[in-house]
Amino acid sequence: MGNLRDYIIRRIIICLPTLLGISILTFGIIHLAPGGPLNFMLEMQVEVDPEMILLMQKQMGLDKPVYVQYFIWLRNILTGNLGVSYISHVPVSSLLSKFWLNTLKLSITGLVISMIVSVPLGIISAVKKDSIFDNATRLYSLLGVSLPNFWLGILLIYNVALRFDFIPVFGMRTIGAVYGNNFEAVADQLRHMILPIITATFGGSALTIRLVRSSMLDVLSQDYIMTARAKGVKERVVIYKHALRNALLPVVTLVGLSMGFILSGSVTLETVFAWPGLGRYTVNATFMRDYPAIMAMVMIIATMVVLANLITDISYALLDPRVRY
Amino acid sequence: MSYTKLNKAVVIITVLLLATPLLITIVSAQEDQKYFFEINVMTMRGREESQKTFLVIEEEFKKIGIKLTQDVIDGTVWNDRGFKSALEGATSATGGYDIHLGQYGVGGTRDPDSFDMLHSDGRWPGGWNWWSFSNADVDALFEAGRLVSDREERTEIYQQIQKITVDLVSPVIPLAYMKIARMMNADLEGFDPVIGTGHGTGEWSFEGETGGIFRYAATEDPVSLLPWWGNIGAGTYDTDIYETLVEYDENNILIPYLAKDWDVSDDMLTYTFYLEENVLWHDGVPFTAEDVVFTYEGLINEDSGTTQTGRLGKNIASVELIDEYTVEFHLKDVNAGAFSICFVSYIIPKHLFEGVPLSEWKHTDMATKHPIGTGPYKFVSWTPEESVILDKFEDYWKEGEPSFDQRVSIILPDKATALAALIAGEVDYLVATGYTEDQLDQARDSPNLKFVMELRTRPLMLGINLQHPILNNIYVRKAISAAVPREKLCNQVLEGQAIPGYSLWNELYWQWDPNLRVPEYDIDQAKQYMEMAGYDFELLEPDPTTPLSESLIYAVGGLILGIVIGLAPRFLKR
Repeated sequence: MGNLRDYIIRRIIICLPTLLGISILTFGIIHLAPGGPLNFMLEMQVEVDPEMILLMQKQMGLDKPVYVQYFIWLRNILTGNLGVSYISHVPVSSLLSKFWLNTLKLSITGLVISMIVSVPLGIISAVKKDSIFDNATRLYSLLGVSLPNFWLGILLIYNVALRFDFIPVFGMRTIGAVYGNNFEAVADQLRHMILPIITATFGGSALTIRLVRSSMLDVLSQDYIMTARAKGVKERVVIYKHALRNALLPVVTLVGLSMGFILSGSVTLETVFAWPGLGRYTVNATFMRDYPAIMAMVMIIATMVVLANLITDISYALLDPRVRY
Repeated sequence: MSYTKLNKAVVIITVLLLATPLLITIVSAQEDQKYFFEINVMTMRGREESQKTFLVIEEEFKKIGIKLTQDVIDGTVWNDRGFKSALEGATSATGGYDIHLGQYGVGGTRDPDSFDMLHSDGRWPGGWNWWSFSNADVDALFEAGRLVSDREERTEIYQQIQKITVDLVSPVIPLAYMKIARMMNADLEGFDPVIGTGHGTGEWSFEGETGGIFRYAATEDPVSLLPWWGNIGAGTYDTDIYETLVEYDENNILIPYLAKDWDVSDDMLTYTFYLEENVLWHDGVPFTAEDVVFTYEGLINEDSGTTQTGRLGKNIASVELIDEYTVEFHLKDVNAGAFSICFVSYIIPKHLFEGVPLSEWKHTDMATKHPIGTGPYKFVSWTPEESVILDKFEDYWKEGEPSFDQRVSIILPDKATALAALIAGEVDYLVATGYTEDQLDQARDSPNLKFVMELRTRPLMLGINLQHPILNNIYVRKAISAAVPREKLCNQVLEGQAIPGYSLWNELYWQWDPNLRVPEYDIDQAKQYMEMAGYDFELLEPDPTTPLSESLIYAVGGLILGIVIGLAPRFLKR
């Protein structure tokens, strides 16, 4: 097992240059992009004295060469300081945690529900191939893949939320509401999640259904399924015990791959439903060239993705003896 | 394949082949249209009215031999290009701009003193005159305008400036004034659009009653709770928290605010303000002249690095405490527009900032977590990307204000969602920019809503880089101005949400002169101007090789080819 330990240590060490590379690339790209944070803040603000702009630039350290700015940032981040937003002057770390929870609320719920919907649909679709049910499911997944979620979101808002008082148009909760107890607060949040989750599930489940269906079809044609059937195993057991386990492997991979997406959130969904999430914040920060905020977001998402990959690789090594290290 | 089918196929193929070269010829003939020169127009991303306007003037300018191209750029780059032109005389080809198109304030917001934009001393980085406009008469008039305080005398002076800019067609060519639809809950009363100023919602109410929660739909998150270091998204809540010494009413007349009265010395260098005496900060501490002195001494110091520091520092020499409720300002130079420049900054509480280094002001809790002001509503919470919640300030100094128990700004980035929220009654107020007529109609149909159309003070205009080798010719500028169909633009393209703009100022300004205006749309006149500028329209005539003969050749060739291809299978079958 000493070999495995070396492998794990090696993998962890490799992560560091990866992250460093990502940080250099990101820092370089956002500084290469034309314009800067001051321009945005002062966009057409004729009340501002132009000479002041140069002074503000100096105060924010933006007049230094990019590489110097990078080392200052690196020094700060190594001491655990994510920096202060250029735009709101609030420490980035305090904003991050809030947005992140909001985003996870939406994306993890969306993911779980789309799994609950799509795995059974995919299986039935594969087992009853070419039946009416199969065709209907395929149509559904085709629509799900093709309809952009911002459009679907607006459609739902105008056709569902405007008709039923129970369903709110936007937001994560009723703003300014005072709740009698925790139950009311949770109920209010759940009410607000209905439309965004429907929208997210529709798009998200479509792909998974197709994947489950095709991998299920693939597995069902394997020899060992035929063997199982020949042994006289019940059809239900064949499907759920023998076939499904193997068919779900690619689905698990898909979920792993969408890790970055889950963490960063869906910008369009968050915009349409005015959901205060990480995706929207990151995009706004990018538009405003809020360098510290962008760097913090990118680095944290990158770290999580790198960690997820690391864990996957290590677990592969542990689980599958064929993986060489 | 039967013979009839084959014949049909031959016919179809032939027609297609015939049509293709004709189309190509028509398209390429258009591309071949000759121009005197090409001009780049810079518009800002997300400003739909600018991009729509571009499409209109692009068509019209073709008629006078000017080819327009458009750069749709981000707000973050806008200033860089303007500054590059101003400093280095760069054009669009060298990283600057030729013409910028958009809504831009030129005439000052509350006072006509737009020295920084139109005086030659205002050339970047001295001010925002990045068109490099320089005219000795205008300079002299601006200087004179600062020395007199009489409204009528000043009106005459600024009308002369307006006349010169119209005569010279520079530095900007006004096109239109946009109107913004403000849509709101039909019960909302007391709303009064005040130009240029950021009046709060203190006087607003639901049907004149007290109580209720007022929800305001904002498109962007506030950038800073004390918007001194950039003011995007501000104006939606800050005017309810903080107050200023004086304000301007809807006719641009100075009105009292925290200062109930004031004196100006005969030499116009000393301004004495007498403050309201029963004002409390939101934390209960009394507001006094010391707060005013503290605020201004910080603001005029460069270390505070606010967006107002430069302007205030240039004008205010010192601030003096006279007694508990009297404060005296000493100006560096006489400036009749001083009120609009110097005395409309938010006052902050001394007791919460004392001891904080100026450079740290923007990181204080006051600026980032919990602002304290003297306004009608006090701060409760800010949830980024979601809401800003303010509560009624029970000890507010103005009798009977405010009305609402709570006043909430809700951040709704998507326009369609915001409109749905308004229709559903989940928000009460929306500034409706960028909506189509269809969307506005949908809201108009709703019985729970009412509309107020508000004229903007900033004209939608073409700003001309006067250092541009072609555009510095006055006749070219006259031609450009005469080639803009302002009526058509406003009625058809901007869907009635604009009125034609003919000068720097509109009816919202007291110095406006309705009789002074750039000439109306006249394409023949525009062509004459181009000729006066030295451009000969004969040079634009197409070449003698007419496209028709060319297309005939293509057509015959296509016909033969079509028959060959159509018949080929028959021969091949044999």
